[in-house]
Amino acid sequence: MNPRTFRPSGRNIHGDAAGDFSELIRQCGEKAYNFAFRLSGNEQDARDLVQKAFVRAWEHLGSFDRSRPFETWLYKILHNIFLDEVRRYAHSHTVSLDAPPPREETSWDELLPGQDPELDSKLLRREDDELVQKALNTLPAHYRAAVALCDMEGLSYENIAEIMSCPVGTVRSRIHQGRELVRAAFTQLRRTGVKSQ
Amino acid sequence: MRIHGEGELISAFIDGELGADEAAEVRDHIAACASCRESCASLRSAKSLLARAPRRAMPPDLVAQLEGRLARPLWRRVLDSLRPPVSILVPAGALAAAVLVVAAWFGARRALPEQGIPLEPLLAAHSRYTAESLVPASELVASNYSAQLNAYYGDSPDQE
Repeated sequence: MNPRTFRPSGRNIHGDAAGDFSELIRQCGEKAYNFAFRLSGNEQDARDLVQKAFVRAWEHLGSFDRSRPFETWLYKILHNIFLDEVRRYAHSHTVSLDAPPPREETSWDELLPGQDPELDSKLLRREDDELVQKALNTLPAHYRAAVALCDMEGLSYENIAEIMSCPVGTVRSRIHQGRELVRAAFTQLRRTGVKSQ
Repeated sequence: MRIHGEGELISAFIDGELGADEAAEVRDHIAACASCRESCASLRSAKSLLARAPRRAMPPDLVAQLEGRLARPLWRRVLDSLRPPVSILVPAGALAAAVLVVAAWFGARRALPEQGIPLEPLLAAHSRYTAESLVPASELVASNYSAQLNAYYGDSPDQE
């Protein structure tokens, strides 16, 4: 079964479709888990996000628009759950989810330490992967989701806009700023790591 | 179209998200502008850094766990989703216990007169005793409270 063309039958959503849905879990689970991990930054939260997303998808299968790919719908559910969690955390820790873009606070000249030849190396070392995740974790939630969906999941701007429920122009802006921030944070983290060793 | 310094355009160009005409304009500008060429290289390396990060594999037990969870009847899943976390249960339990204690205390207070113990004469006697201990006996004047007390108990405590 192709998750992009999955068309659940409305009359047996909780009957025969259970087997089909099980198959979808196996097919879409990997992508969903990778996205959840990149959003949350740790295994436990990624597990929770994926579980909640699939359960919610299963419970609302009747409202799934059959003309759209299932994967996009699943990503959207997962992203919404993630934002709910972030908002809950932000509410209890007085952190604003809608913080102004970093560009408004700091100039890019200050953020970007310059070209790093090692960054272009073909092979990403294991410790570098951890740094990439740490760099992602420093991004505001919207930027993190945008670059993860574009550069790690390979989705188009149009699909990302659908998942994030925002215009394509906003997606373009978030991806661009997200990349700039990731690069700056990664270089900074690696420099700090080297100094501390 | 203004391209110089428009990083979003360069990002979209890298992602192949521009139309043919726009893409050609950006390509020509990058070829001629060193600063935008550098910006393009920087954005490409950031994209590549993210794209090269290894994919995280879904833990095998998570699939089984999910299938097991979805196999449960709907009413059970709804019940599970309504179950509040421990972080809410503990303070809620403490609050409920406090409410019960307060309710029991008020209930006990209200129950006393119904058990046949007259509170008013006792309070009157207490007031009178307090007054007597502060004011000389010669200056005391008989009060209604004394009469009330006598009415309840049959005779005056002064006679003892």
